[in-house]
Amino acid sequence: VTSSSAVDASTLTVCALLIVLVPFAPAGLALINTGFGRARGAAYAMLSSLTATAIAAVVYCFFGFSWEGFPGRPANLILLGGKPWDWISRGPFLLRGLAFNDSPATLAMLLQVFTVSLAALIPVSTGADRWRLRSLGISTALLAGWTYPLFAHWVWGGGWLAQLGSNFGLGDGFLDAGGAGAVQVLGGLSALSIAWILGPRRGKYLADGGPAAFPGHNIVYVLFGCALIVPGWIGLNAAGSILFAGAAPSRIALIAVNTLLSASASCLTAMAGTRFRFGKPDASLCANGWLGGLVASSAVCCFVTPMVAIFVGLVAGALVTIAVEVLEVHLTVDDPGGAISVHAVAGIWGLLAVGIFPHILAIRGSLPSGVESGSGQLLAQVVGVATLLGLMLPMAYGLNWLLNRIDPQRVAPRGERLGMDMHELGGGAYPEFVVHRED
Amino acid sequence: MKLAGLLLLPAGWGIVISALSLFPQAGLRWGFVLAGLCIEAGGLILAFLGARYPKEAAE
Repeated sequence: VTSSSAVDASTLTVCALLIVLVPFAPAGLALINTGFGRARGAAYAMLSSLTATAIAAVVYCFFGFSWEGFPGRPANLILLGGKPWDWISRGPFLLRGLAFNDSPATLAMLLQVFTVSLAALIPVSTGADRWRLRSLGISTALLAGWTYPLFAHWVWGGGWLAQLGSNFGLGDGFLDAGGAGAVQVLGGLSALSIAWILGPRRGKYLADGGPAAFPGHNIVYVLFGCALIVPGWIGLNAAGSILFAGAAPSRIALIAVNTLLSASASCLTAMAGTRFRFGKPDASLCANGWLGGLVASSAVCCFVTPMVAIFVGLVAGALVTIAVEVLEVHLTVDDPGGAISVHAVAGIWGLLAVGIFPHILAIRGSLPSGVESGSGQLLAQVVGVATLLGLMLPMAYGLNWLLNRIDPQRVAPRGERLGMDMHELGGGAYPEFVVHRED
Repeated sequence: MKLAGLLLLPAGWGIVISALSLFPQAGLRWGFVLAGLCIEAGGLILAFLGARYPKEAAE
């Protein structure tokens, strides 16, 4: 987080206004999750998204922010190889010690109440139609109270990943302006651990090993969610860039354009790819492409030119469409909304792109003196990605595995047959929508 | 197999972190970081293969 002395009051006002836009992102994602699920679980999907949002916000404010902290707050350090490794903050619980004023730390907390909810919604999509509400709530609490704050501290709270530049001369340290790593990849890897623990939906894989098609029940929800999510994403990328990457408010137009261009290029790539493969564009994969472009843009939004943003989006769209097929067909990972491909795969690409295009720091006008060129920045990004895959994925899986041993996370077979609406809520989303025997 | 894969992931990360502390030279550092990443990739492949849905359980 940028220190308060370095940011003037008008910048912080702009930042606060941008943060107000961010709730559109979880709202859009909730609608997308619902559209990708089955009709008999639509009300449950929307309620589970709301539950995850609520639990994430409360738990983050209770515990999460104290462990995440912000630069300048007391932190626990480990001395390793003669260098201090800042690994967790030592702030008091319940937001005590935080002055509720227009300081960057307060705005960072406010922004992250929404981003932690966004991260929590990603596994909800993967666990659709088979994840019990109680287990979903506890798993969300673990994500918002421990996994997310830990990684967010390392990246945004002045932790060891942010200090890779000052401690080891790796560019500007690990850069993640809009939360591609701390929000998207972390949420995507949590979704992967949930997919492994829950297993596929009943009937998803046939006796020959191939997957059965379970199309989303309402693609209009999905596509409208894609449109709804855009202002939220622009707010997230712009506010994150100001607070966590020190971008000037004059860059907001560039950030907004980059966000939209990356999403557009990614969507068009998915459209062209599916048109080429299947003869017609696939609406759900186009939606995944759009989201994948947004996710990748979160990493690069304030660092690159619009042309580079288009290139990042093109690659993200190709990666997402390939990853959806590989995961579903070859690796038998049942991910109804393609959340793992969209958030983890595209997010990792975006994070690496920050290091691949070294001129970004020059565009930002802040190439630190005495710091080597882009190879150091690329190494910092690689270390960040390695940390997400090598430490955060096993941690998310381990916590959810333990939870599953104590309280099985998957709904009983009867519940899956009946539908999550009837089983968990006792009523459906579309009570007048009845299928007759003769139909 | 899944457990082995999940154990390889932090092992690879340990190599990546060790490379930062032990090797100030860019070449060696890059080499060991990439080696750690390769181990993580191997762990991820093993974990995916170990978590594959068994054909006999399919309907």
